[in-house]
Amino acid sequence: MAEEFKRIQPTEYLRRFVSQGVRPDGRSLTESRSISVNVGSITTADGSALVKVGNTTVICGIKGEFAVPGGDKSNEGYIVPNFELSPVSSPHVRPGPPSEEAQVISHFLSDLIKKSSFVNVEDLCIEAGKLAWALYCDLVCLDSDGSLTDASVIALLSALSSMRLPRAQVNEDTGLGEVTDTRDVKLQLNDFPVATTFGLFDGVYGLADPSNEEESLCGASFILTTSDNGLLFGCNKSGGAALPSQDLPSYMTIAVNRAKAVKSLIDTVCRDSDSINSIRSS
Amino acid sequence: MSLRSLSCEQSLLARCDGSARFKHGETSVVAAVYGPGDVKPNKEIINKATIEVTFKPKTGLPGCAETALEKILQDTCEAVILTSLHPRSSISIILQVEHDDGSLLPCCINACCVALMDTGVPMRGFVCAVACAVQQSGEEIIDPTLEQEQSAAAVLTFGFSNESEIITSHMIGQIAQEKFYSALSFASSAAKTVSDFYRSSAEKKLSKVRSCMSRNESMK
Repeated sequence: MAEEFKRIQPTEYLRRFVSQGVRPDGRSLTESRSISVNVGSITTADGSALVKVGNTTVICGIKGEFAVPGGDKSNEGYIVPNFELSPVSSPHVRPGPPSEEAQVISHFLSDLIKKSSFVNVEDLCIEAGKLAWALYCDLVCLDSDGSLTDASVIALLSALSSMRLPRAQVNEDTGLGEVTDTRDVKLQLNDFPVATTFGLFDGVYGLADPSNEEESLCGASFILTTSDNGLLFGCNKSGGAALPSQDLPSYMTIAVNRAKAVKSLIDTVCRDSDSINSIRSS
Repeated sequence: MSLRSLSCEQSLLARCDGSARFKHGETSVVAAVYGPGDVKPNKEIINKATIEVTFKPKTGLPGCAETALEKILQDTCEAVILTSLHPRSSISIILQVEHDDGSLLPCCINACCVALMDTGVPMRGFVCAVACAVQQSGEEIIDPTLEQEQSAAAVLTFGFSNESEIITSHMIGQIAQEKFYSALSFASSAAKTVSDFYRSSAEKKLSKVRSCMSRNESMK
């Protein structure tokens, strides 16, 4: 009976739950789905992470290549994110060049890296004007079940935190870059900006971390990017119903709490991964 | 704290159904609207109009940044256009940047709204957009220039409808939460200036039309 009602009247079905303060999967309106992070799964990459937020799955692989620092930015390296949706993730994704949805997320990640200072691109410089690291971060969504931006950001942060680069220097004779065999160069992250998507249902109810079904029924959604120490890195909303600004402080609190949980998760995972690697190499 | 001088020209292009050039100081964007018109069958929506936005930067080929901007503009326009009045049709908006001296996104949103008004597309309201840059020192600057944006800690763009409803918001950089609320309130009061400007440009355009009509009447 409930199944037929959900098919015929999906919006009304969701409304019956949300007006009582719960959602069909049993979560409260402010509760996010459980997050799992696995680092180092791609052994050929310099850094990698597989993140699941509920069913949404995003994998990030980072490859460091040598690059020449450009023009006026002679002491900076590059971090180049690229997000794609794999056709396995959803029936709506066709093979081919990145769709608009994928390009929007790629641009979001690129802006987060370039325009905020959560990571210092100066740390990627090997020798000013001659050699620097260019980190190519490739993110692929393997299962699309809502809040793709959230999972992508967590995957990128986890991969950057767990990445280990070899030591590099410019060979004086050849002028080319060369690397040692050790892998102990870490990238220091100043902050951990975590994105939290909220779906705005009926213009009134904010659903934290909506699934794909919930996102399609919400008239609008917005993304708050916050770090665990309360700094705001983004408040992005495009179109749809108006955002009730008096509710913003409570949404910010939910986002900051989620950022704290994600940071401690990433820290634990990276620490465990480091200790496993040191046991292996000794 | 105030906006730079706003200016707008309507119906400047002959072949489009409606067009507008909107300027925030030196930043200038031309928007052209074709519609309601034909839509490709794969983009057709049975009960609503399809809004398509094409954004052309001043130089270079369009990339991810331009696609992201098109999505923001499409969602913003969809929020105010009465799309259910033109099902299975398309409303195409094309924007061309003439000069970027900061506050490009609000200028684009404002150009879209005035061009849609010029076309006569039915809308439930307008979106009045304004940007606010928060400097490293904490000072807020409304309608920043390109130089001010590049040196800012964060640049926030808000699109308001009905004076205070936040339809669209976009932020880059990082700031404390309290700064966000103060930037939002500054932007909200500046948006009233944009809203008054829309009204005065509409009045100017209609008074020209009225005087043309009365001249034609007296000549008959």
